[in-house]
Amino acid sequence: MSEHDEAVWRTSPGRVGKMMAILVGTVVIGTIIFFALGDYWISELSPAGQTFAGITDEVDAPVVEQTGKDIPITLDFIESKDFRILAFNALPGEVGNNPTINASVGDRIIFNILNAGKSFHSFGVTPNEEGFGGILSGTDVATANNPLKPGDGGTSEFIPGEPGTYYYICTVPGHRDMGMVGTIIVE
Amino acid sequence: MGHSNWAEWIYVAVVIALLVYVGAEAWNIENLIEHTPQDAEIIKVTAQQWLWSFEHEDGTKEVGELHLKKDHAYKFEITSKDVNHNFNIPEFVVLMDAVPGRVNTVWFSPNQAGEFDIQCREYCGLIHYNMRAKLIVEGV
Amino acid sequence: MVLELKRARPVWQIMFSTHHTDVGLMYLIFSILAMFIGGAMAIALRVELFAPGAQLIQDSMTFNRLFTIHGTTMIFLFLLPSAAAVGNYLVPIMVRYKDMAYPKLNAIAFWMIPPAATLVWLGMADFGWYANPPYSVISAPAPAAEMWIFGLKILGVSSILGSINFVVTILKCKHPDLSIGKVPLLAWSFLSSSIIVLAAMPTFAAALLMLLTDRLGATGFFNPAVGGDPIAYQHLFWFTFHPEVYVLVIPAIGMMYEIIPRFSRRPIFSHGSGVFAFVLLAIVAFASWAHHMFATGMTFTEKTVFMIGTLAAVPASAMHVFNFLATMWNGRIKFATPMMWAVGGIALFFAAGAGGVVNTAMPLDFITHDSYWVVGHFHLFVFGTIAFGTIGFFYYLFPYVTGRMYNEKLGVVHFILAFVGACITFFTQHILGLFGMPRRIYDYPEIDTWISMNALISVGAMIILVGMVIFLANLIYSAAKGKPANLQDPFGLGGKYYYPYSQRNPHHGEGGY
Repeated sequence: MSEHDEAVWRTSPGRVGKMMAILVGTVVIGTIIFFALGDYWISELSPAGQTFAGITDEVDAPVVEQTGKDIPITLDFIESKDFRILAFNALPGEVGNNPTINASVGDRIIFNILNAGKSFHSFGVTPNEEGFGGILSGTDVATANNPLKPGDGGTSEFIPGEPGTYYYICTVPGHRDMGMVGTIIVE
Repeated sequence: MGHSNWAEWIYVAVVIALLVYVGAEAWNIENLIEHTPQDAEIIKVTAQQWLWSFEHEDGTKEVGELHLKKDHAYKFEITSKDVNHNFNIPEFVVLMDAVPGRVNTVWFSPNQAGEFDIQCREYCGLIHYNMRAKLIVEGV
Repeated sequence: MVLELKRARPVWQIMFSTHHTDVGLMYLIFSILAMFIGGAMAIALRVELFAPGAQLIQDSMTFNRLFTIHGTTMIFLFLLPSAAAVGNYLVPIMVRYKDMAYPKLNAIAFWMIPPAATLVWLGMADFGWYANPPYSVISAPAPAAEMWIFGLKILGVSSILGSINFVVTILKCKHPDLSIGKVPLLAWSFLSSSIIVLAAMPTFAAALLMLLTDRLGATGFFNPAVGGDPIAYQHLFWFTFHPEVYVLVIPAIGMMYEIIPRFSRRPIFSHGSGVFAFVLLAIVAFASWAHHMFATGMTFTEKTVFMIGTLAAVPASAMHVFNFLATMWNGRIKFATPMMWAVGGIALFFAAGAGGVVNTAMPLDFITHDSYWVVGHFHLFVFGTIAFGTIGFFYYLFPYVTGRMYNEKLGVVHFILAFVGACITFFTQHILGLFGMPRRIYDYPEIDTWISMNALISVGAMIILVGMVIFLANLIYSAAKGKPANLQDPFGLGGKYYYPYSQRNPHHGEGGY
């Protein structure tokens, strides 16, 4: 097809430079968008995943008015050195381990949560006796998919509308079984 | 082509011979490994994000650690509660996927006493890198 | 061939062109960009893994996303487009036709790639480039996972369209005087890899769709909680992706078939063996997929079948190595940069293949599965063989595309750094795997042997990085200000070469090859 023998240019270096600038500029803009939206890209769980974790839309407890007192409580996520035992505030056997909270219907329990461990944790209150699902809305601090990093913390609150036993847990799968659970007894 | 390529034929023959040898030897050894002894004690292994739990034949449960006896044959029945994991004791070359909805088996007989690592060998999410347990082999 | 206009064209005219050389150039630029982006991710991973504890990356989720997208970028956005670049550039010339069979389809196939890359890079999914369920169905966060799935769907379609183009161009558009047996081996490599893509890719397209509907909760193909089988996905995935690794390696071997005879100043030892080996490899590639699944609980018979299938592919690869070595034997070899890369590539190809034979020996797989041995093994293939062959070929094409010569000394330095770095990094990873370190882990316990090997591997990666920076500088500077090349014989090899520069038919005109 080509019978030419001398060098001829596809295009000029200046124009190639412009194209490179456009390309690099596109990548830079993409990077800005990526970081600007931060954790949005990994913020949700797929519908199948939500079903698996037992997260449904109905778990929104009806909004309860506070008619009682404020009960603030500080809960720190802690771990044993070998990561095999997890707990709130103190390890099993020590004073203050997984403190039980006593409250009445209408009290507002204010949770001050801190990740004092080296791993990742997230917080929530559930009426379920087992597992990491059924988290009541408003009680969560971070989620298992977007957990608290070491040193991070947050607050949430829980106003029980019904008497009974509730559990505050770490919502990362498996952590409840390893000891991160405490009871809230509501009269 | 128009030139002799006897060297190529010999080369290919040598390659094929080596591969046949590797294949036959592998077949042989795998045959031996797969044969679980009759008296192997069954240990149920459950993998979940991100910890290992074990159940002995007599119902004893252990989480995060496993106590076994030296020179005793054990057969692991491995499953998972959520995603794929892989039960691995590198120092005894025990390795088998933990697949939810399925039970995989692998057997071994620890010939050394001491403490050994159990780790997860299939990517399973956030704490895959720290999904570890301890194997403690007792005995003389 | 390429440079037939007297006046510099505006860049948009190149971008919207359907001419095979322009599409090839765009694939080339995109693939080099992706190589550096994927490489930057790899460097981030290696800096983090230099020692136990958190260094650069503060949480495991970011690490998981980085290794997932590193793998996805390198395979789908660097290696496949770089092969497409070379193929687009040269296949029409090699079969003496004016363009690809379907030029507009060609451009469309290219232009699908940047939007797909955008989806993949913005989402940065975290499930590993295999996307194994159930993790990818019930545990991997959204929308990253869906973006990856859509991105890969688009890339798969692009690959299939490109392959259709190659097959039709080579089989149907070749010059009537050119018999199929005389078609150059580089073109045969594209024919072979394209046919594999056409047979293998639709399976993955199906698997991706099933993964998506599973995620949406509409189906239960792979989700055991609703009666599915996660291992079914692995069969579908590997049925595509084992042949796919041959799709990656075959064009690189084809590129070596261009470089080695030329720089040895001897004809290829046996063109017929090369053709036979490509065809055989394309067929046998389909017989070995479940060797990736030996640890899933397969029966002895199943594993044996796939071990045999894997071993059966080795003689074909061995024939290529023999062909190269026999061509170089008694040749007057000129070790210019492209030749160094090609020969280095053959050496690492051999090492990679040897490691593969270990993996497929069933009992040995229990030691190596999902450990750093596997990481070292496949990197010897994708970096040591494919990237080496590709980069060597980029150096070879450089004078033809730009009209200027790259700086030879910098090219040699780049090669030495890459080769030494690759040996340090990837051979050490083999040993680290034997010591039990799993792959895809953000952090590791303080085991002395692991710590020292990881540090060594990270140093090796930095050596490769330095080489790549030199490469980038060489590319940019030489393209702008390099010495004008003698386009009849840029490497000073003597003799006449009828392509890739001028497309004279050797039966007409003077001389010819």
